Amino acid sequence: MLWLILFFLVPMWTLLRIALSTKPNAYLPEYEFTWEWSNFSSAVDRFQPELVRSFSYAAAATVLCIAIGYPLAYFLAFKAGKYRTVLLGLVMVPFFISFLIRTIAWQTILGQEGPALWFLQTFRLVTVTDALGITSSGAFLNTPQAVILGLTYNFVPFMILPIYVSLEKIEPALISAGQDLYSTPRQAFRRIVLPLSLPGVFAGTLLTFIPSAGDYINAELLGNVKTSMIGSQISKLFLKESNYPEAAALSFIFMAIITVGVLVYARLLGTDELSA
Amino acid sequence: MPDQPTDPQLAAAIEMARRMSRRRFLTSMGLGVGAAALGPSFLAACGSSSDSGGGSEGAAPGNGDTKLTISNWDAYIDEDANGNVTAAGTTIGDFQKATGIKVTYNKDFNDNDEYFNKIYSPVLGKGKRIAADITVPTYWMAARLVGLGWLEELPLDDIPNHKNMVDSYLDLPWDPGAEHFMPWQAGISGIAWNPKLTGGDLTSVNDLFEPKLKGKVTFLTEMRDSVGLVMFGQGNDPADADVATIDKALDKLEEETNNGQILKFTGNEYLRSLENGDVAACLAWSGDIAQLDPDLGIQFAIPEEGGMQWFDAMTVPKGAANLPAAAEWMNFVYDPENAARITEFVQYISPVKGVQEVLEAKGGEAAELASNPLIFPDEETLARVVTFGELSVEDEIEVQKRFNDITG
Repeated sequence: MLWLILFFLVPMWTLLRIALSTKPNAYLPEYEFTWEWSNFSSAVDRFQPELVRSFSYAAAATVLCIAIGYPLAYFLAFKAGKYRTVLLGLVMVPFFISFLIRTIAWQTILGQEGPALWFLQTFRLVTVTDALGITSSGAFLNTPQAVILGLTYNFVPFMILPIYVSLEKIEPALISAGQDLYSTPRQAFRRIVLPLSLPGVFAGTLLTFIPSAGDYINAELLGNVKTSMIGSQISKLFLKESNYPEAAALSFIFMAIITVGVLVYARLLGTDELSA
Repeated sequence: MPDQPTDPQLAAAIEMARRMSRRRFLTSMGLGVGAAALGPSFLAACGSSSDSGGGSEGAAPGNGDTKLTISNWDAYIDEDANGNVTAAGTTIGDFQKATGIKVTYNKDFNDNDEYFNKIYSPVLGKGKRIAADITVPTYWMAARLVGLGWLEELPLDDIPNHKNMVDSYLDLPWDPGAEHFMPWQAGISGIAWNPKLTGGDLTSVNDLFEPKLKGKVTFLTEMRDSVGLVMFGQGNDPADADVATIDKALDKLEEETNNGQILKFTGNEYLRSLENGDVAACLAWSGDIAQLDPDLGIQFAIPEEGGMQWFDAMTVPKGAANLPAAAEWMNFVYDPENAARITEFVQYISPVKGVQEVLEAKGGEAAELASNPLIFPDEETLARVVTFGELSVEDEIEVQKRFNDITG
């Protein structure tokens, strides 16, 4: 309880106070608490596109993370056998390198002279990928797609691990029992494995969606001038425009949307453990 | 943003990732942001207010002369082969030996606005003392600090080498006689291009808006560089910038951003993009290009309409603990011999008279630098570059706001 007050309520209270203040002189660190609700409306007016973009990119990245992470976790839990530990370690290996360097590496991979485009060009697939919306007029880097790819790449381990944990807890005897009752492997998966692994998917979704929505490094490094996300805007309000109140208001709005979203999500899909 | 590293880690990481570490390297990224969501009181608490000066009406300077703390941009002073800036034989090493002053040299000045909003404003603005005795903001930020009264007047009697300062710095409207600052290094912002991708040379800022370069052009996040160069292209003089001419330049930037001509706005990440072929042409800083491998064929030019000149200035924040030591340091680095060693390493334009002669006398590679027009621009070149005009507080905030909306 104490730490909740110290690390959650006090910062939130400070943030809200600043968000409702004015800063008479942009250069001086003085605030007047004036119930300035207009900070909120002007932040929403000005940064609506970035808010929408942040949540759309994060949603896309989360879906991709499930699509990649679930099969991988399934393989690790049930099929990897003696290689399980090694493979699980490999999932974690990227964390030994800084987040930033890994993202910068993607600049090289996706760039004009990088392997990704070389592959597409050699096999003359660029028109196909353009049509599918994977590349934009022959370019990979500096596109929204690259940003979503970067988010997916950076956060997929946070999807794999919770799913793996929930799958790994499943008693294999349950599946055998299902098969004894004449279920096909597909039915056994759908009726036994999938429901039991949902808590992992739920946790993984939270662990990927929330940081993705707040991330700005991928958008800055892999995107273009039209892909900036809410994190960059908050930072610019603070550090470039010295507009602390509006930055605080924007942070607050962003957190409020996420909190409400998570609660709704927990109600709809969550398990008792997490939504309780 | 739970898993993002904090500032110093990020800074170190980028430094590792970049083959070419240059100053301003975090400019576009605003990497203080991990803390941003935590609220300003937290930021203020993080400000480097090591000794609090106490009083609310501005701390009095200390008379410390045995140690000195300097906050400077990255890769902006000579170092030994291991990257140690205080080793024997380096400028700082020699200074320590000659004066007995112990120097703490921090490469933590990443961005003017960021330093202002994290350190100058929350600490100096409350009349407290910051940890650094010397900081090196860019000229326009130095001007702002002079205006706010947040800088100590330099004890010019203790800095005889102040006379070695290049004359043009002595009659700036915001600090005539340069009593509150001494320039550290200067540079020129112009246009750079990769001839293999542009298929020819660029001469004008407006060449960047050629349709064939669509989506292959980057501009700088430094507002004064991007806006100033576009103003030149529109026939206006950035030295006399006013709201109307700036707005006209911003209109142009907005239009070219919306139609996809400008891919993004960057700090000096543009170097990577230029080398990798992701960008064909961009705005660039002279010192960056001076250091590039000539085999890459990257070209740099001051546009025919004119280019932007900037400089970073050593300043002593109000209430600094070691003002006498700071004066000794400034005197030391304004000795042409010492200044020449720094120039050899950083390859920017030196504000100290006599550096060119020292380099010529050294012969070899040093003499080659002495004839590099980007490091020692001739009179004709200098006549073509200007610094951006002064803006009022309100105008500055409005312009920066609009610029941020455009840069995304």
